[in-house]
Amino acid sequence: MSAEMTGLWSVDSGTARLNGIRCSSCGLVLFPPQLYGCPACGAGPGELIPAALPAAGRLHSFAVVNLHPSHPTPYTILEVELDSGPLVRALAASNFDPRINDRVEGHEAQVDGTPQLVFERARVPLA
Amino acid sequence: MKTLAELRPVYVVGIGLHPYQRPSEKNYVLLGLTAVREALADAGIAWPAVQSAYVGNVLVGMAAGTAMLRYLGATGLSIAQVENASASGSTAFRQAVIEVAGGFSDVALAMGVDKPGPIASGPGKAGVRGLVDDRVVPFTHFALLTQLYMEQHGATPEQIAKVAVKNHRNGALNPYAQRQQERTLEEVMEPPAVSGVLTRLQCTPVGEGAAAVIVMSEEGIARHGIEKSRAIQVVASAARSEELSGTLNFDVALTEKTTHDAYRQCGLGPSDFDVVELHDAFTIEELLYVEAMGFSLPGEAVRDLEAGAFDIGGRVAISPSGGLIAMGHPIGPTGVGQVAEVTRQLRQEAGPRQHPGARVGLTHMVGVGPVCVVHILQRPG
Ligand SMILES: [Zn+2]
Repeated sequence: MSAEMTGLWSVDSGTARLNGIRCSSCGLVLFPPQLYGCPACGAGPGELIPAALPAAGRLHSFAVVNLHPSHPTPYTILEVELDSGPLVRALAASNFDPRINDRVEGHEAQVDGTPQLVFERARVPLA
Repeated sequence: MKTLAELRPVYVVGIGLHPYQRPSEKNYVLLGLTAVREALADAGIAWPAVQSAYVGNVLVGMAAGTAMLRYLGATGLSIAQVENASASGSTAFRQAVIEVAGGFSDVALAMGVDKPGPIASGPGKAGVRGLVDDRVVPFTHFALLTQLYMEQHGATPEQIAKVAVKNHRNGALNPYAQRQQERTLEEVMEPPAVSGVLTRLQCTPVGEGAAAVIVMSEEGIARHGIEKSRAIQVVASAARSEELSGTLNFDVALTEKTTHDAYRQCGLGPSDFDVVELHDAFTIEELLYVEAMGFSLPGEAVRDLEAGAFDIGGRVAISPSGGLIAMGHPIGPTGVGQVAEVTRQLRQEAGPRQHPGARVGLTHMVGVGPVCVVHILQRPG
């Protein structure tokens, strides 16, 4: 893995982006990143180009989890269809009451003492 | 690629199980031998007649099959262990069917045996991890699918829970089931939900057990004097793995493709089926898969369920064994157990849970990968 892909996201000037990849052969955008090969067209590692994916998209589904063998519960898992294509799963921000099809965006927050990329309803741009 | 229609006919001639149950002190060898001995007795043959064996196993480990089967007599037969996640047993069955259809053997055993234990996971070791993979255990994965289904089709948590009411009712009639107790809708829905709207009784209990089936060619049937009326023909065998499906759930996409592969192989379609055993590890799966298989129109599975279409005696009995939710899901045996149940139904030997007049049945498992395996069985004549 190249140095810029060691973490799953980066924060630059307060804006979070996911460290995905784009296949230069077929255009597929993928998250999480890997350098094994493209699952759509089979292109090798040389065709997999790091791509910073805006942490913004549409809420595809969600679940409030009440049981887990190691993590404190409850917490809410979101499934987000990123504007760049991939369907990713992430934690919900603690104050977010999710509804499917919400516009959501991600930012870094501390969860159980560790930094996490969490999503919540996108701030509505001022008219 | 060839299909079973182009090869030698293959029949299930013997079935046996060790009941699925909560993990116990009982050794896996005893679980497995119980199922195989019952299958041999059901077929009316002795162990030396078996020329080849495939053993579905995920959790016991290396060489579990040979270490177990030697106690039936070390006859030197070919033995291979098959791991394909939750579809391990289904894949063992497919390998046995292919071997007999291809003429390599006339008599083959497919079985599965397992006990809960630590999982050595290929996907985990691939090292490609998302943001929250460790927080999304299977019931949360399926809770996400449940929430989406409710949003898309206006279904309610009560309607989804009714899958578990039906399958517990069936499991209560099955002496091999891990859960043999009828449950009311209130009991199924009793808080707390483990994830989303899914409660404990809407999730499969993973336990231990074993299942075995013996398959034969017509030559094998003639040689061993098998009662032809109790031989159930395997008329289609289909298996697939992942293709990228965008935001459409991969198990649903895979189920649709694999099932329709199987339909094409034998010229049967959704209206021809009497009994179906499918991978209902979580209630939502039954609804998603009956739609993907064509037994309900998209979004109408809950209405069909509530109308009794999927009951024993309904339009098509879905999981008359109790399914993974009530019969259980010991992993390695599960797909073989489905074949045993469909065979029992097509022989009209299922007693109080018999679907009247059952002639055509389907078995379906999905597994981590994702993979999917579907078989179609038919009573000759
Ligand atoms: Zn590609």
